[in-house]
Amino acid sequence: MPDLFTHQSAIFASHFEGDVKATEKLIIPDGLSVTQRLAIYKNNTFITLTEALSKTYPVIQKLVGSDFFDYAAREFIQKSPPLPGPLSEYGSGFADFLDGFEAAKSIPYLGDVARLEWAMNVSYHAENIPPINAQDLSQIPEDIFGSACLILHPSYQTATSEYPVFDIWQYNQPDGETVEINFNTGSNILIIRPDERVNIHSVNIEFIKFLRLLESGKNIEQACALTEAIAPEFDCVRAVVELLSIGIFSEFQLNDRIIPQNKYHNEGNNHADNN
Amino acid sequence: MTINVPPRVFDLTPIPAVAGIGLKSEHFKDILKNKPKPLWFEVHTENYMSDGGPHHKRLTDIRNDYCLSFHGVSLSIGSGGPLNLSILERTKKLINRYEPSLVSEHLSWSVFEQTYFNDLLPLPYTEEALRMVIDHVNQTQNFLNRQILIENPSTYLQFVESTIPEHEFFNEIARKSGCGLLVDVNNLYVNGKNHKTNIEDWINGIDPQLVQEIHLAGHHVNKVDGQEILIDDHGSRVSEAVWDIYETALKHFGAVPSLIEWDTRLPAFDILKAEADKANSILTRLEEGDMRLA
Repeated sequence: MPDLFTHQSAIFASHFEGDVKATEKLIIPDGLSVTQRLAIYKNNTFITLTEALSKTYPVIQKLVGSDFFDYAAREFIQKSPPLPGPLSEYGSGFADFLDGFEAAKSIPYLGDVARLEWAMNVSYHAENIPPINAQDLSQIPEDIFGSACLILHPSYQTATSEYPVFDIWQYNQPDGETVEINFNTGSNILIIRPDERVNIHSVNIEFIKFLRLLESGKNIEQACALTEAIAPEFDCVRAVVELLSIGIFSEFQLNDRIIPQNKYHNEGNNHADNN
Repeated sequence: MTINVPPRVFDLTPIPAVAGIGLKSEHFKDILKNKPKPLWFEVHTENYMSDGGPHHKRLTDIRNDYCLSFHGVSLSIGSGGPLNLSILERTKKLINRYEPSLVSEHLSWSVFEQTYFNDLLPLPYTEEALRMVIDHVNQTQNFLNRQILIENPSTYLQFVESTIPEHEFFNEIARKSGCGLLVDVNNLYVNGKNHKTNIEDWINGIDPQLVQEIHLAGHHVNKVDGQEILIDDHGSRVSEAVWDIYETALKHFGAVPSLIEWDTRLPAFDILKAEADKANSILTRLEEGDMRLA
């Protein structure tokens, strides 16, 4: 008899490599074929993983239809089965898979829509922290305002595309407004979950460049100067105000001091869950 | 073989011997608005492994009013290879965060090397598998620094290699590792039908002191090539036959926390609560002595 590891490798091969040979001697047929018995398990794996992908990628499912989605998902699962862990973490490679998926070649923006949906999924599951607002920032003395660093919220994500992914996403929402989609425009999207809902915002590319500079550790003054150098029309003060209003920042830092979101700061260790 | 009985966690509220319900995000609103009692909730551990998300806020609110049980599906206690340390670490983090009264896993495997099947695959009941499971339960309990419960699986096939009756396999795991048992009576019924095994023998063969929780759920009757196969799909009410097994089980094991599981084709919360009330009425009858062992 095979050892346990060899036994399980035979079942792995029947699930993911289509090789049932080694399982024949392991299983009592009892009125059915060994393949029929294993198919009950294999179907469950593929059906539940397809459901998990459809929860993460509802717009992709809507764009291609359920049958095609199931087909694409099956191919993807076979090629990239999940690692151990929560199902919400499964499917990060779906966008790249769709980019190279021959059967979906006629919809070139599919991969970028999937990248947006993945970013929204990541944002949804990020740490719960209340963002700071303009009032919080007003604590910073004016003369050292420029030297402050703004820390991006854990749910902050971006998605950029040469296709109008933002409009495509909006159009395919259950309560989506009918928007005219101009396929000659690209999109730059900020994804953020300040509280319960993941919000997406269409912005100019300079906003994303500015945020990337802040993310790399540049202070407000440096990030403003560098962004304005490449985009002279960029209004830095207005940008900071707008970004604060959508909840992009979780804290600010002065020299070595981190100032958290004082006004929300509760006693106890679970403040993120109590707001 | 190491025999290592970790201390039980005494500093937490034990779940009373009443019915609980598998917690679903669709029911958060209902529960937090109406606060039905007596009740406790069980969640799938993996669903809360992310750092945040609105569901964590709801669970924090629910934890303020209820006892919780964490029921894992991906640790793969029955793997022929090593346990996944990241799953253990993330489970421990959740235990520290929510302080559940019970923590459980399945007698099954779901991971081969780095591939996760998202399914509970059965084990051959051999001496080698028994040693492996005991080692993995020991490792888990040592890491989590608490006792866990192990649940009997529903199965759709049997292995040529198996030599140990399932109930003996369970008794041995619990005696050698110090873990408790979670008996799923729907799984007993599904297996009884699928493999023509004797359910009463299984129940009578289990050491009653080891059982700390019962699961109740619905199943689906499928046909493959004209042959009936029962699938444990948690998508309907508990069947009358399973309620009967539940009574038999309680007579043997005594009153223990009993969970209504419903995962697919999810109905309104009231339907689940009605199932929980039904379990409670059976538990009450037992405690009033009507069902005492002869």
